[in-house]
Amino acid sequence: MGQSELLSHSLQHNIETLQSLTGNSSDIIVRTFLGAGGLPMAVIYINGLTDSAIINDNIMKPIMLSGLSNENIAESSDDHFRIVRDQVVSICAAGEIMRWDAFILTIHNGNTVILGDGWNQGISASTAKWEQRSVEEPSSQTVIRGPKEGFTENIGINVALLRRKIKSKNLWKIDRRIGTETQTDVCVMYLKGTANDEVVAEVLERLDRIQTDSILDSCYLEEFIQDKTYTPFPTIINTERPDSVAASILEGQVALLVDGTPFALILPVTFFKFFSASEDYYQRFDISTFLRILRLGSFTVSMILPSLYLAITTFHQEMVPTTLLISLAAQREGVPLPAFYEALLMEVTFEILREAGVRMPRAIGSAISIVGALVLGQAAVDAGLVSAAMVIVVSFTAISSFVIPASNVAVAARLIRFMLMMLAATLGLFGIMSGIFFLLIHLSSLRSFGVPYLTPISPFIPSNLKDTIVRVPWKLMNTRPRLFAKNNYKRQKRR
Amino acid sequence: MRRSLFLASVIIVVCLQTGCWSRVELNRLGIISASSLDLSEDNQWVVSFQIIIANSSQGGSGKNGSHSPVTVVSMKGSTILEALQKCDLETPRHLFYSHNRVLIISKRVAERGINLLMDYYLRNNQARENVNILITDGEAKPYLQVLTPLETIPGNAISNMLNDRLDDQPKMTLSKIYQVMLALANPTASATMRELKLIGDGSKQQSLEALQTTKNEGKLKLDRVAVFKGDKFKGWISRVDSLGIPWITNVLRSTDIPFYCNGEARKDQLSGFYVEKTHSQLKPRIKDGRLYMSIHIKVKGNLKETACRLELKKSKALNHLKKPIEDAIKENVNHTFLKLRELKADALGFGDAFHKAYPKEWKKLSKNWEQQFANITMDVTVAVKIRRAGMINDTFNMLSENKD
Repeated sequence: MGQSELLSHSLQHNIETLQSLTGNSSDIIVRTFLGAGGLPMAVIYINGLTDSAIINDNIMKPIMLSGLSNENIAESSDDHFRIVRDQVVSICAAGEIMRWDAFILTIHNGNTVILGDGWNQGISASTAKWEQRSVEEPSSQTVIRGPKEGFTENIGINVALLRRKIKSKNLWKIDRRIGTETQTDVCVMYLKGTANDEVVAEVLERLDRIQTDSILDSCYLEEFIQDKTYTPFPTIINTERPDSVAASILEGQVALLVDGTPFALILPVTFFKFFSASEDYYQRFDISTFLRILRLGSFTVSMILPSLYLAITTFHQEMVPTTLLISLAAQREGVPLPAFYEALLMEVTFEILREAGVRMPRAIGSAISIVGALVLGQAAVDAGLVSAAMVIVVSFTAISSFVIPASNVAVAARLIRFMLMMLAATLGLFGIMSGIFFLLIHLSSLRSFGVPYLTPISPFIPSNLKDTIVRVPWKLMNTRPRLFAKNNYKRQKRR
Repeated sequence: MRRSLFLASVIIVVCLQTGCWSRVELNRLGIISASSLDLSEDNQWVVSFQIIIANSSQGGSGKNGSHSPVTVVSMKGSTILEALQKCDLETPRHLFYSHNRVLIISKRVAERGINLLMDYYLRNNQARENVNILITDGEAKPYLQVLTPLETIPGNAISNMLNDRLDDQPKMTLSKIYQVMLALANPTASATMRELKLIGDGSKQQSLEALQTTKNEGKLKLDRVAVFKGDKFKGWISRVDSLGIPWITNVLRSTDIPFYCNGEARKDQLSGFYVEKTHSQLKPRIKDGRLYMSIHIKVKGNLKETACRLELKKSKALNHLKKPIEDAIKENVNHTFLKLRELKADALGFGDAFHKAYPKEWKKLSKNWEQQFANITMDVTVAVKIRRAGMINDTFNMLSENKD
């Protein structure tokens, strides 16, 4: 029995087919009854996904008690079907179901299907209601000032949140359903006329190419559609904040919403987008600019500080001021490990602590911080296992990595840090330099849906620098990023 | 994919194969803070190093006080390098020269010639050319063993003594090794070097106990200036005689000038003028085959103390003071010039000034510059500007007399 087969005329046969298709799953409720006029009918729904009050009041009651009196009972079953659909069922969203795959999908979306004997189709009525999180403040990207609502797991609510922000006919939405088993709703949203049509077409093409059984989070999609898989740098940004998504859409980027996750994807992106937080636009421009520079600096620090320390203290001692060198040398007296292993030990320890902090049950959180801070930090220095300077370097590196608003770029810095440490331990500053050159070459080779990753620095687009490292006042923000919004470049009139 | 894996493995292998080339851990380093060079009786080089003991020279750790902050090693060799390498035999650590801040040479070394030393310094990649170079009358090594009370590391003490005072003391001639090298490389110029002097009993200042009293048995002090001829020591000029060198060579930033406000006759009426800004200009002239050098010095400063009776509210009174200050400066400059003329050593950059102003004539002049230098007629003009007279106007002498 193939899923794409059509429903039959016999109600009994249809119910049997359904039960054999779903393996008699007990949460799929089949309620058979006699409709007005004595026609055998059935409502089919999934328990827990539906609102039984609606089924009772708007489906069962009208059908059983309606004015489907004997006079206007239709002669044919087709007429009967049309009357039930158009005159009896008082539900706004109702459709016809002809095929079994659509049947299965619609009941999984919380709809109720009404079948009647003699019909070769069913009526799907929207009765969806299930337990879900309400719109809450996003936990991963908090702001002091600015909208505090975050996406939820429900794609409908998420789209509505965006619609409420951009009340424009140009906000277009294209739906896709991906995953042979999960049948996950995915929608592409963009500002028609502003977003680059080629990018939209490319996104849709890449989405259509996905052949997988399941999409449970937007990260699945991200990995399927990103330009380059084997790179530590993300080429798609994710966010939990509707306002960030709205802002991106207004700049000509394309948003991808996935049902079942509060994280939306934004593409194409450039490297510098990962360093702008949504709050940059809700605070005055001067502090925003300062914070952006701080973030870029912290990113660099979190990437190269341990390797720089290694290189300078083991190869280039002449670069350190004398007093500092003496102080560092005094701390290293009696430390048994070479500086590289010392650094590696501390970095790995920190990574373990961090991972433990994320995974462990909340109740034992304070234990970890005591063990981490006191035992590993203070005691290790007192015991002479590591030098105090190394602890400072590692902890400063760790704190710097938390400054970056997009955690997936911070992850890139985390991984690259180890690579650079190895280079520094073997080749000194020369190693770090080569590593950074390698990274720069790699970064400039990356593309995100056709947009060079390092735009607007390389290729150099002066007008887009207004919102890259600095954030100019809104009065001066006259243009959109050129490579995102080729067609609709002007954002506001020049004043 | 396969290619990138291959590339990555190549990079990793290359990195690992270097085996941490030239890597030195901090606790394997013997950091040198000062070094000295002597010539032994049998004409061998004696190289001495003051090595920092990091643990005991770092303040605040509580370990301070039990160990001496530095230790001194020294070795003999027929070349400087040989002596250096022998030092490695004596020390458990890798000697590290880059933080060496002071090099002290003895007069005997200077008399033999310092070209070899300079060659060694320029060739060696760890040695820095901004090391301070000093000269001692006797053996140089004992100077490394003197502990200083204010600075834990004596090498730093000596270097700070030189460098910090470049700002506020005129008694300095430039004493970085590269400056000496520049003078040596110039065939007509003479290099100068500061003398480091040990006052008192230096041997009592070598243990930590010496630091427990307020009085120091032995003190390091900067004193005379050694003048070189070529790469060899030529003679000393006293500290007082050397005062004019920074005035003429335009390296002076600030200094104090004592002067008699009512002329030399009233020796009790001394005043102090504090120079804040100076600029000097050399103007060479050749007239009828004779060499003349005019030096224009512009001075700005404040009156800092005075024993005279002056109504300083009036600008006339300040103008009255200009003349004696100018005279005092002129005297310093003339005095130094006369001393250097005796030594026939051009440590004042006159040769360069003539070279620039008279490139054609210079070819002839440079052949016997020693003689020409001795025949230069120098005149000095000084323009003093007194900016302020301090926080009070009339001198205190006047105020107290008014009361009576």
